[in-house]
Formats: sequence, C-alpha cells, structure tokens
Amino acid sequence: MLTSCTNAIVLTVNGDDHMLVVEPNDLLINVLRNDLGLTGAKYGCGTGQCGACTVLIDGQPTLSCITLAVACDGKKVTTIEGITGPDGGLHPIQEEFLNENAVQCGFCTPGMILMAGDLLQRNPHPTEDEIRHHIKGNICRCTGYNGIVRAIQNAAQRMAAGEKPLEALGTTVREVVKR
Amino acid sequence: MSLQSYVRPRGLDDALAALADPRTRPLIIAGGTDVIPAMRKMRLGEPQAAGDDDDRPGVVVDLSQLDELRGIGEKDGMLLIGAATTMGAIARHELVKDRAPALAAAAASVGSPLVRNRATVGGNLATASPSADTAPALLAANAVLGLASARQGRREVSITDFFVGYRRTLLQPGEIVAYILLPLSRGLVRGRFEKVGLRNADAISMVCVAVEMELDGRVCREARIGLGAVAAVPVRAFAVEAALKDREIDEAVARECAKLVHEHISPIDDLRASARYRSWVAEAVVARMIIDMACKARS
Ligand SMILES: Cc1cc2nc3c(=O)[nH]c(=O)nc-3n(C[C@H](O)[C@H](O)[C@H](O)COP(=O)(O)OP(=O)(O)OC[C@H]3O[C@@H](n4cnc5c(N)ncnc54)[C@H](O)[C@@H]3O)c2cc1C
Ligand code: FES
Ligand code: FES
Repeated sequence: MLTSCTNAIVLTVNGDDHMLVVEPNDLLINVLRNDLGLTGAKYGCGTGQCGACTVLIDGQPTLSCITLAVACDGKKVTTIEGITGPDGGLHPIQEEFLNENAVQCGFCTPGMILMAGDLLQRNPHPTEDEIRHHIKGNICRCTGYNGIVRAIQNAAQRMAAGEKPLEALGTTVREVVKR
Repeated sequence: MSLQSYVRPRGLDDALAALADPRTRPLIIAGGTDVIPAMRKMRLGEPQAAGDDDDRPGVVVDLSQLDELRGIGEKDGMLLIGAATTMGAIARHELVKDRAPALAAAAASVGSPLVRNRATVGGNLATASPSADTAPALLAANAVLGLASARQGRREVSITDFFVGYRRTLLQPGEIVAYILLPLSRGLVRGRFEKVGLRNADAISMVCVAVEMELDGRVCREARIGLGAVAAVPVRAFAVEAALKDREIDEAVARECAKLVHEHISPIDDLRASARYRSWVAEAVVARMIIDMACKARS
C-alpha cells in the first residue's frame, strides 16, 4: 500500500513558492540550505538544543534541524533572508544588532533575530527577563547575550514608536526542481 | 532505503489505519523533538546490514496536524487536552493555568520556547522518559489517558498504570494516546510543580515534583504527589500521601512525611546527578513544597 519513496511538496519560502521533491527523512534545514541555497539558518547541534537553525513556519519559530521537510508541505517558511525593513533594507531589529555589536561570529544571529521578532510581535514591551526567557533555546557561543538583550530592547522601543514589526511577505511563484 | 514514506493522515481513523499493520514498521511522529534526534541514530539512508532484521521504521505517521488530537477544552467537568497539543499551548492556556497549575508549570518548564512550540504532551508521555516533565503533574492530577487503535478501539486508562517499565508504557502496537482528561480542581485543591535541573534553560530534570493538595485551613484532606527522574518510571509517592492525610501541616509534619518518599524512589547515578544527591533533593523538594502550599501564601 504505502510505496512512494519520495514526496512532492510545495513550500512557500520568504514569499516564493517552491515545488520540491524530497525524501521522507529529509530535514527542513538541509532542504533550505542545500536545495534552495538559503544558508542563513545554520546547522549547529542538529538535536534541537542550540537554536542556530531557527526559521518561522506559518509565523511560528521552529527548529528546522528537527523538522521533516515533508511535514511542511503547504506551509509558509520565513528564514532570516526574508526579514527586511520597511524600505527593503535592514529591519530595525537587525540594525540594532549592528548598533549594539550583538554579532560576533554570527552563527546564532539569524535565530536570535527571528526570536526577537516573534517576541516583539506578541509582546511589544518585554521586560529584560522576558527577553532572556524567550531566547533561552538560542545559544550564543561568543557570549554576546548582553549586547543581544540590549539590541532587542532598543528595537522594542523603536518598533513601539511606530516602526513596523516582522510581517508576512508577498507571494510570487517560482519553480525549483530538485534532483 | 529503510524509511519508505511519510503519511499525514486526514483524520484519526486514517491515522489508526496507517498504524495498524506492523509489517510496514510504522513510527508515530508528533512534535518530533524526541523522534528526530533518535532517527538520526538509525542511519535511515543506509542499506540494511546483511543478515540483520531491519527494525528501522518504514513509514512515519505524522499526528501533529490532526485537529482531532489538538486543543484544550472542558468536558463533563473534566479538563480535556488533545494528545498532540503542544507544551506551549498548554503552558499559555488560561483554563490550564487556573485549574491545573502544576501541569501548566510543567509544560512551561520543557526545553525552550522553540522546543515548546513543537513538543506535545502525548509525545512526552509515550516517550516514557523517567524525566518526562508532564508525567509527575499528570500523576498528581490523577489524569486519565484516552487511548485508541484500529484493533482495540478506544479505552481509557489511569496515568498511574500507564508507565510499566523503563521507557515502556502499556501502549500496544498501533495504539496512540488520543487525549488526556484531568479532573478539574475544585475549591481548595492546590497544585504546584518544581523542577531541579543543572541550569535554567533547556535542562532535563534531575528531579521534578508535582503536588496537588486539598486543604482545609492547614489540614490536608487529600494529597497526591508525582515524581520524575528518581526511578525507572515517573512515580506516585503514595506513602507520603497517606501520611499527610487528615494531618494538620506544619514544618515538622511536612519533613516527617517527606521522608517516606524513599519508599517509592530508586534513583540512579548519571551525568546529571548522583543517586544520593537525587534522593536528598527529592525529599527536600517534597518537604518544601508541602510547607509552602500549606503554610504560606494563605489567602
Ligand atoms: C532541546 C530539547 C530539550 C528538551 N527538554 C525537555 C524537558 O525539559 N522536559 C521534558 O520532559 N522533555 C524534554 N525534551 C524531550 C521532548 O521535547 C519531550 O519529550 C516532548 O514532549 C516529546 O513530544 P513530541 O511531540 O516532540 O514527541 P515525538 O518526538 O514526536 O514522539 C516521541 C515518542 O512518542 C511517540 N508518540 C508521539 N505522540 C504519540 C501519541 N499521541 N500516541 C502514541 N505515541 C506517540 C513517538 O512515536 C515517539 O516514540 C527535550 C527535547 C529537546 C530536543
Ligand atoms: S541546529 Fe537546530 S537546534 Fe541546534
Ligand atoms: S555571535 Fe557567535 S554564536 Fe552568537
């Protein structure tokens, strides 16, 4: 009965629709990085413990290293490449990460920024404690947490003062055939 | 190729049908937070070793998107939680926070926000790790688990009977946890959960404890205590509960009763803690929780 070895799926990634053929055990992180060339999400531990692979699935932060690509069929995936500011440049959160020198090697940064966006969308005025709790699953090996927290605090202020939060991107159709 | 396919069933019956034939070697996946790290060790892409029985999964059946298994509500005076409900949803839900605070706190303690976005309560129970954090809370709440399979149909079992050995449950092949029922705490019942781990975030419990007590002033009418990470399975501390019954609680009584916890636990040494330390912490945490609940924060 169940004989198919591959699965055709459609992923909407940063607004573009991609038709992909994946193996049932392909992980989302590998499909994003290897098949779509989106290397923003990083492969850290591969076991859900570091947050380097964070992406948004239907707006929800998700660990792409422990997510099957087939399970995302029909869903909207947003990676750090899909995060931009109102004019297409940097988003206020990204600018504040630069201003506060909250980036050293940058491995944790995509996950940190996506988590910051998720937090500020639901809680525009987080306390320092709430910020630290929200990035509990995102490890920065360069111990940049203080700068990261300050960057999120600054971004919160700017966004509360009227700059826009992360929002859904427009959809265009593009086909990518794998293998 | 060992893993042949992935199915996302459209309804519960579909799911049970997909799980019914053991020859397809089905593997249930919900949040995947336990399963995927485990799958990595199975070397799914490699051919079967000569002469070996291939016991690696053949088909992955995804329960995470089944509406019938998701959500939180009230049914006949009970709190009903779908097995595929995420820890995040449970931790945030007002009804759970209000009526089953120990469970809300246990769910909030799992992993990180990223893990809680995916990890489900059904997966936490089915994995049957001794340190599964929701287990003590559900033991203390005297929860009932609704199980379902194509072969046996539906049945309900008490959480106290569910864990039968180290990482073993009474789930039969092809059977799933469909829902969890908790008696809604009435009046004076209080619930609390505490977890001792090696750090603040993303820590597996070294000891975790949930207590529910029905109090009449300082008199304990009934107590239920669940413990995790201190035995091969999550356990109830029945001896402590019996000793507390109808006693007026003060610090001395709480400490005396908490000593009986050793009748129910048999911790091991592992990378997180020694057995002796775990025993000591379990007793101390039980005593402290009883004191806090009975003697402090009185309204
Ligand atoms: C970084 C990290 C941190 C973690 N921290 C904690 C923690 O602090 N506390 C804790 O308790 N756990 C923790 N875990 C473990 C895990 O997240 C939990 O056990 C989680 O609840 C498992 O749920 P899941 O939906 O992801 O299960 P899955 O991985 O999808 O499945 C787990 C097992 O249960 C089976 N299964 C799933 N759903 C059902 C069902 N409805 N019926 C029958 N069988 C089913 C699967 O076949 C599998 O064997 C952590 C995991 C990670 C990766
Ligand atoms: S790479 Fe996914 S959590 Fe570390
Ligand atoms: S900047 Fe290097 S891991 Fe955070």
